[in-house]
Amino acid sequence: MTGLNLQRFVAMFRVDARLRLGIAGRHPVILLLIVPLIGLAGFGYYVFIAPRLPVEVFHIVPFFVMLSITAPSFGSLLVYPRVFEFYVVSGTPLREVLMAQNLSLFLLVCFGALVCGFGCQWAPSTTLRHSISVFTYFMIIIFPLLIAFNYVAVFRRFFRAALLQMFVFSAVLFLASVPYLICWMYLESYLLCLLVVLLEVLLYVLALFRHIAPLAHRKSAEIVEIGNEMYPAR
Amino acid sequence: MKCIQLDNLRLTYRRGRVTALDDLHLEVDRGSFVGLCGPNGAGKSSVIRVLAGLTRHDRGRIRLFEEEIRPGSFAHRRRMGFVLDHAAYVDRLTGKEFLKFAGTMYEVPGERLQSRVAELLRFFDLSDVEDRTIDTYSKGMKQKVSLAAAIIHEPDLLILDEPFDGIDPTSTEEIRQILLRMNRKGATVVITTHVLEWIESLCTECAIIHKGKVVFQSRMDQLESRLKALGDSGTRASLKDIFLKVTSVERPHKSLSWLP
Repeated sequence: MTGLNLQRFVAMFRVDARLRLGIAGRHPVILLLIVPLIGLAGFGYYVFIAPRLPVEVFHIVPFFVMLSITAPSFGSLLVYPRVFEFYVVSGTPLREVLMAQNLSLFLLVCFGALVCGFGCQWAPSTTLRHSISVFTYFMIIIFPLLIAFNYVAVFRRFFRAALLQMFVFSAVLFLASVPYLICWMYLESYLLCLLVVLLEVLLYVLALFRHIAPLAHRKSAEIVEIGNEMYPAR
Repeated sequence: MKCIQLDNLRLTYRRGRVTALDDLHLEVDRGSFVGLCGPNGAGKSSVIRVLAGLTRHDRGRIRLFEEEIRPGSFAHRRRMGFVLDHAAYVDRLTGKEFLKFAGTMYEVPGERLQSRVAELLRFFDLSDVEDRTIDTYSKGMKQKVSLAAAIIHEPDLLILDEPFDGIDPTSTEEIRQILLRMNRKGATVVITTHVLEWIESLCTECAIIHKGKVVFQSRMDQLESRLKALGDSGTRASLKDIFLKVTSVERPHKSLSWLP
């Protein structure tokens, strides 16, 4: 495998983020419109919906709403089969492709949730400790989710994609809550949470580089075929 | 020196029920301009998709640039340019954005990329629509963008699936000129087409694919002798004669009852 090409990585990140936001082909200034819109949605959520939810869950909801928006249809990372096809045809290393797509998904979710949360109602009603708690919970959950999404993207041929994605989503959510509960509710230790997050990041990087990317390389033709079946060319 | 070597290539679809390529054997010399032709469903596009890494063959050997290609090999495609049957990959980007993106994927250095994108847009008369998304382009424009993206990194091997399909005569001539210039510069060019005249006017070599096999391959200047070898004593050999001869062997005479 070749080393990371930063220029190429940034280009892939940008294209993926713009496709996910639905602003490909439009001037980046449109982001200036999107940010207040997300903020407005956040305001609506915190004023009208959040007060009816248990306090333990309402801050994490924006993360999951953003996750479900930016990882659309079937929840796969490889949501744009034609773009993936171009990566295959142009011989772009899939390790870089997966990294760029993961990073764009991760940052968009964080960005959206932050604008939605901090932009409106978050600060006045919650303590710093609570905010950190929400972040650590999100961090604990997101990395197993990213690993799972990548595997689903590569293996989805063998399952009904949407069903599998929902199952994986719920299972990871449940499993990833366990270390959070142990660390936070019982031990109330930031350090322990941080340790769990670090371990997960390590596991995620190892899984992506050592297993998922080489697997995607070997199965690239099958992934393209699945993409063509699921999203026929117009 | 060989640019493409395909040995005993076999490809089936639908769990082996449909055979697309049947022990296909094809060799392409470096620097040649090869036309692949054949009846509908003969396997031309399948060959291209296997070469592009978009379809995995069941068995057989692929060598490109004298190197064995294994499943998972990607680096060799950076020396290749493809125009496939569906023209645009990222149709929600503008033409300019897509060309920049393609150039960056092929690691064309920054400054050269800027000038090359502008030059390609100008050459293909796409400057006026460079800020429109590709999904609003006509078929010919899409084909041009696709070709521009395929040549932006000056590939050693250019492979085009039906490059003239649905294109107006002016655009066709532009594409023809580009292909000839690329070939003159040393690139190997492989095209598939139904139009035999294109092969006769452009290519140095032709191959006819029928039922998943290469049933005929020859240099264009040797067509006459090859036709004689096939048992035809015609004075002037055309590719059409050979095409009909090698692809119509088992075809029964067909007619419609209401036509004379």
